[in-house]
Amino acid sequence: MSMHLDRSALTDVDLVRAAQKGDMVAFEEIVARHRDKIYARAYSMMRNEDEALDLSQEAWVKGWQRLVQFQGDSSFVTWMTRIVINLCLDQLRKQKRQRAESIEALEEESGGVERYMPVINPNPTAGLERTELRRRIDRALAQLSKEHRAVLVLHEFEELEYKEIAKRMGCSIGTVMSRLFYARRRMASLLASLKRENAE
Amino acid sequence: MALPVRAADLKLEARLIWGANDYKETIKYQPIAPELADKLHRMFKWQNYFDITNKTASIPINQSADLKMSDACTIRVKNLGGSRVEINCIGHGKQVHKGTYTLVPPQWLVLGGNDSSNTAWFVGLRAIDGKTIDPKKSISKN
Amino acid sequence: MNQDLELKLQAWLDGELPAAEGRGIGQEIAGDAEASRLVADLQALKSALAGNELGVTVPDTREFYWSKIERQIQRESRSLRPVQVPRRAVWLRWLSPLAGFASLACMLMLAVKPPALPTFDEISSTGEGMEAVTFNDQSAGMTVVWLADPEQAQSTDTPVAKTPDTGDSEVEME
Repeated sequence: MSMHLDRSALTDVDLVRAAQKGDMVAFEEIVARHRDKIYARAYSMMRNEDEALDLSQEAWVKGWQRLVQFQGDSSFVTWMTRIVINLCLDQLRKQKRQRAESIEALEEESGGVERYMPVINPNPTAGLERTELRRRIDRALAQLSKEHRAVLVLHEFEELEYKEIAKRMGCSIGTVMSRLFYARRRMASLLASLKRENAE
Repeated sequence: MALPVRAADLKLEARLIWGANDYKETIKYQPIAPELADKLHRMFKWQNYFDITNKTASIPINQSADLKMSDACTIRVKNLGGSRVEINCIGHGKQVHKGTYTLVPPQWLVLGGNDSSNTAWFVGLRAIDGKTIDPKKSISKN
Repeated sequence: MNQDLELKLQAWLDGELPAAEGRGIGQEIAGDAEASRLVADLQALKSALAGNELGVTVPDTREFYWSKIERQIQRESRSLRPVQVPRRAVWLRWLSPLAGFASLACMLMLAVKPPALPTFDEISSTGEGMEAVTFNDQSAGMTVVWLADPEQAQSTDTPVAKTPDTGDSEVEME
């Protein structure tokens, strides 16, 4: 049992410094502050609550173990986000190895029918209220394959460059580019479908 | 109007104390009274002991009182009569320790354990000779 | 439009195109209706996605979520922690991890006079993974119940004011 001192007033920098000296209560405070963000990133990539919980908690354990390596080049939460992303990508690779190759998977890789669709004019997200937009984006993301969702999340939400994404995903930059292109076209198509659904 | 303490009521003092050496957090807290600090110094290795929470309670026989010492620590005391008490130490919502003790003033019963960063927590309990008490002061905190 | 051009336009939009390749793209887009529509679509999607990720929160309470992390950290640190064993007191390896506490408790109890002290009648239970050591200090007028994690008790970091001189020690990995 540890006694609760008021660490809530301390900055992240102070808490990290304390945690680097072994103060686990300070680390717990950091976890409490940023657990939602780390969990959300894991969930966006895995789309599974249990997996996201496990991977986000594993990320925090690794964060604790590697605390001495954190030099403050980025914010602590950015550093933690990178850890959870790597864990998610490892997990996705493991799952892919276990998954049988399917025609659908191959088609997704190459772009499927969306590659040959005429360019769509109307912006499927125009005029949407923000909450509704976020909901639709979330629904559309859920329908992407894990690899396409990963590359889209890493580029659009984590703002990683192609080179960085390629390194983390263990593929070529060319593969990142074509996956990203496909993911974007698919997203646009899904959002257009959702717009049509709501209009009916 | 102060109410007379019933003969079977147990008047109890509880203190949450933090033992530490050099730690910047300690500047927020007051050192404990020297006589209690001496007792702790004789037994434990920490250089400084700080008062975190101080509570008193008057507990009728066969009844319990919960003394919230901190957000993480609650001591549940049940008056069993005849100076005997059941102490239930609850940390983070889970039972940490439960035991039955005889408290005879002015002796202290101290529960303790390690805390982070080489510090320690202590909960000191002692029975106080009760005469009459003001019910408004029956449960108090620093 | 061929795939190479599509990917080139995407890279240009994302700021990933090398400068040399980027020059002249503007003209290429202006002169090609399909290319300019593609760029417009990609741009619209980028704008729609930016900052519009649906936030989710951890479905567990703070304590529950942390408890699993804490347990894992402790488990992993136990598998790595070195154990210091006094070289001269090799026979101590055969005693329980609480040997230090137990011997101190014995020493103190021998000095105890018949009870004016709070006595412990019974320890009903101690939390999972915890051990309780009780000792009395007659002169201090105090009974102490020290709650320890047995794994922590294996270290030389005891709470008592004076520790026995252990002399030279060697580090033994668990």
